[in-house]
Amino acid sequence: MSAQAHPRHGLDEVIHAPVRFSIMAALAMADKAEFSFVRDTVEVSDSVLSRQVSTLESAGYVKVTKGYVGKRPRTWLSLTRDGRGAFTAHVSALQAITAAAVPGQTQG
Amino acid sequence: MDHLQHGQREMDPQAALAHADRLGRRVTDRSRWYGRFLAVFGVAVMVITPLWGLLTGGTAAVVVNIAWVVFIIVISGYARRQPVAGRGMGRRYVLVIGAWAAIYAVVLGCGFALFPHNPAWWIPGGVAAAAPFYLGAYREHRR
Repeated sequence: MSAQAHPRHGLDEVIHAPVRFSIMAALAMADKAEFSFVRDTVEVSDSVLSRQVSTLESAGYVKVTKGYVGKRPRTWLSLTRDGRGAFTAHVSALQAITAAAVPGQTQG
Repeated sequence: MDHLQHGQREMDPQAALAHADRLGRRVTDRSRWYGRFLAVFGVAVMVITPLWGLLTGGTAAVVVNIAWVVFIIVISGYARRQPVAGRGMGRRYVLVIGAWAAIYAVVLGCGFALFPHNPAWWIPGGVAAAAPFYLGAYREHRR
């Protein structure tokens, strides 16, 4: 991105969708989180979360791990290194857009 | 949650950032179990470590062993049931366990060789062995 480019060009199209952004934001603060916890935190249904996680997984941003606690199956979600980097860059772009919109502040 | 109600449409950057902060706080709050886990682990280490050196007889050793194994099973089960592992928790846990293992080895090694049944060694030794857990719990509390 050139120095003159608008910060919106730094937004990640995969992360930009609100539900996917929320999933990434939740996972950014965790080493890993259980599927049901992310579902409740983001306030979506199982099917919506599954679909959006599949998109993020295909992009290489989220890792899905399945296992058991006792006899109960569990699914864990975590950000990959690429996912964490992409989310950090996306948040930086959002901050730059917000700063550019405030009079008296200049965009980076 | 306002921008979520817009499905997959564009969202306001400022609202998105505020929303990300709220989600992050919710995740952080749900990962606070780890501080309680370390504090309880510290209490167990502080109590059980001196028992190794102060109690005599085969029965006492068996009781302490069983108590330790039961404790590990219960607290491991508690940790496995938690829905969130906070950011960096795994790395911090390795540091705590590593520090504990080093101190524990010194307390037990020197204690059995040089200070058998000496409370002046074993009680402070228990406190020292528990210190990494308390420091870890304190750090989690401050996060």
